[in-house]
Amino acid sequence: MNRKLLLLVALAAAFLVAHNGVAQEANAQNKNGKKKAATAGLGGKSPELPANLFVAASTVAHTTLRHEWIDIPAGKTKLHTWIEYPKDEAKAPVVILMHYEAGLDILQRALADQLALDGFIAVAPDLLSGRGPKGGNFDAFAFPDEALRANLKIPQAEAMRLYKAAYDYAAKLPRASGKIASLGCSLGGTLSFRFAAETPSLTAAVVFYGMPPSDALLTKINAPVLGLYGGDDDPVDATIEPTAAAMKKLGKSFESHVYPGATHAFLTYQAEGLNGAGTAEGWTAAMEFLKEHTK
Amino acid sequence: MNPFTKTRLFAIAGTLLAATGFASAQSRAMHAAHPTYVATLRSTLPSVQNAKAMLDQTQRCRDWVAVPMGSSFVLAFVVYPIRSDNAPVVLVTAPQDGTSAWVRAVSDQVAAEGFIAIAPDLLTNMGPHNGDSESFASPQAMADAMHRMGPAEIARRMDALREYARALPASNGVVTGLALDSRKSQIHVTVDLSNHASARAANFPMTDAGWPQALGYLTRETKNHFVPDESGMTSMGMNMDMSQHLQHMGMAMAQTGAKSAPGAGSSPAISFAEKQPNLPAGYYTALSTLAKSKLRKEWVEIPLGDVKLHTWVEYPAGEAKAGVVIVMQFGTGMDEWVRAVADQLALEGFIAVAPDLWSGTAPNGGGRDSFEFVDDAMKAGAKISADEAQRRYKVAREWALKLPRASGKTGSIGFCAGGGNSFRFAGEVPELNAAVVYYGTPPTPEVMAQIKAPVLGFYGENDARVTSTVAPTILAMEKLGKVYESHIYPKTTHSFLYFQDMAGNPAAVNDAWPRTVAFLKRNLN
Repeated sequence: MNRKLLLLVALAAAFLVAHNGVAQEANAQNKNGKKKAATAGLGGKSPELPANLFVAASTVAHTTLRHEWIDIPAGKTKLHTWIEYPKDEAKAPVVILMHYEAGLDILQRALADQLALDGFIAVAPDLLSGRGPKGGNFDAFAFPDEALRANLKIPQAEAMRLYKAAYDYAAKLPRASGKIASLGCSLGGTLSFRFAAETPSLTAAVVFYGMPPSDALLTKINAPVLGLYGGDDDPVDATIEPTAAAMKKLGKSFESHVYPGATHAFLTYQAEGLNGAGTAEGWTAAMEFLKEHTK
Repeated sequence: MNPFTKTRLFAIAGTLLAATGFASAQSRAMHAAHPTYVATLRSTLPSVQNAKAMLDQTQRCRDWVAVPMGSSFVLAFVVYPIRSDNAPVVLVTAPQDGTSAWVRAVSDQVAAEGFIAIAPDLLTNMGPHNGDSESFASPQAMADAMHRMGPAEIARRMDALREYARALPASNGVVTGLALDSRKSQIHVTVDLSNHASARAANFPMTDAGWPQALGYLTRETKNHFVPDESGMTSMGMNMDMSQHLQHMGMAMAQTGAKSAPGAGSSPAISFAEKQPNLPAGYYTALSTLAKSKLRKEWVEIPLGDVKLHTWVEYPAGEAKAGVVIVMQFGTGMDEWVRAVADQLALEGFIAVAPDLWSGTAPNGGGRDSFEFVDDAMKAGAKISADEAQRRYKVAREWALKLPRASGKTGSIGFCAGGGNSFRFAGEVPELNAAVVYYGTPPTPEVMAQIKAPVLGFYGENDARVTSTVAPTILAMEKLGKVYESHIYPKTTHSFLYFQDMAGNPAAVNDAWPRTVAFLKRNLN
């Protein structure tokens, strides 16, 4: 970079610092004039948005909503499942929450808490049920990376089998309204998309930065699918247009949003780059979509 | 090796072999000396010379695991075969060689035949400073430790490993043993470790000719039908569909076109599920990295007026004097990730000193780790002002300079808020020899004017709040005649060394960390 250009950049940067020091936060709130939900920084939680990594544990610990661990029978597997209910006693739609590759950790349970706050019965199975050390679950792994690697070894067909068991179980919950949707991030997003194909009775599917299933599976989808993506996630974003085209050709409903400057896993790394904006807009869109389709 | 050591090792080998179930009278009676089996062609017996190269080149998934054993654990090196169905397990033990590169390369070759190979470090936590087999100064010391441990403890450890092997999701429940006796130059194969009395076993010469026979025997006896599935599986040993997912996610591998690190053209791609030896741990790998670290490390309480500065100190291997690097915490405090960075610095030859800046902020007088929830710790930690942070780091530096192994050279490194602290520290402590700033902001012009040390800064393009300060800092530092080198990485976020797995972050880590190490070595050694 030559000296002159450098100076220009310096001046521009100084201007930015002086006038727009909180550009990211401003961005999060103004886009499209939509909801004002905004992430609350590293150590705080916004009531309308899922917790970030650093407030997840306290969010789950302090929730006032009913929640419990259930073992759902799935063949020989006891599917260890976290269920969280919306407040009061009214019937409610179910969202099967499909965890990301890191497993059903505290961040994913905080996501379940947020779903319940938004009025859904959140059913979050642990795909590592019985796959941990000594036949334990996710919690039995000594280290996060070991659980992560174990998740990557689960065949997708097995994940589908387990989620179908959870689906059947959830349909019979006394408070279940009869509408069941799926939602997942990253690997969970990929599984959520595929679940829509393998479960024709599914009401809706939300895919946060996940991959589409094969074209053959796409033909089986009945549920509307919402895909939410970070603009700085080239490998995943490359699938959006072909998927939209394929879904359109098949007469299926596929809606997608790409948040500029947001990365892969923006719900996890909310404080990074423009991920706060992606979280605020993406989560809001997901909730509107789910509420609309599970009415 | 002196004769005494040889005798000891022999005794130990006997103990170990007994524990693995095949030196019992019954099984010995069943030994065939040199049974002949169809040679297998997928593997070779590694030599000590080519072991490391083989390990570097293998496509098979391998990692260190901590196998639970009561409230403790045994470390083990695991290599998975490239196959999608379940596989028998081979416990690879080597009484004279621990888990050396050679033993790990042998394990890799066992996996090439379709077995899951597990090479346990039976001396886990038995070494100096609770170290492992690699922490022993000599084969003699290792032999003594093995002897002290005794057959009962060895058997207990082998039981834990067997149980772990049987329960592995990828295992078919069959657990066998392969003991490498480099003294007698023999390979002892035991077919069924679960049943000591009736274990079928055989000895083979540890030669190029004996290797395929040993593996052929294992294959036949375990009915191991292995058709290598190179197309359906990836180098990570994952299922095709899941790994495809990962590849598309761009998370397992650094993006193509990533800038390679200086002097490290073949710098490994970053997997967020697996730590690379030459790079610090990320968010997911920090805890296991610390658990598996074999370096000397300890908590110390540094006097600081009416509180004590709770500080993590980690030492490089050996006993030589070394430069001190003060590791400055990020926004969420001095957690296991910051300690994993300290571990990496110690691996690179520095004494890493990481104070808990929030010492004394908990209601009970404790620090960060006294809080149940990290957000509560963050709130309490906010009480520590920027000035107080500098005071604390100065005390830590003074304390560290008096360590017997301290060479007298000191540097600082920090992340996020700690990056800002590291930059300012260079001004507050003009004697400092180097300062590394990861995505932190510069100090005031007055403080900047005091800086003598060279400053190296790394920033993400997608981090306007911090990165917008770089260009003015370049000008200011130049005007003051200071040495400041900065790198801004494209499509990279703020905490890229912590969250290594998205957008441009993997490429940034690959470039920034080797530069960090080279810079510190240049200025502190």
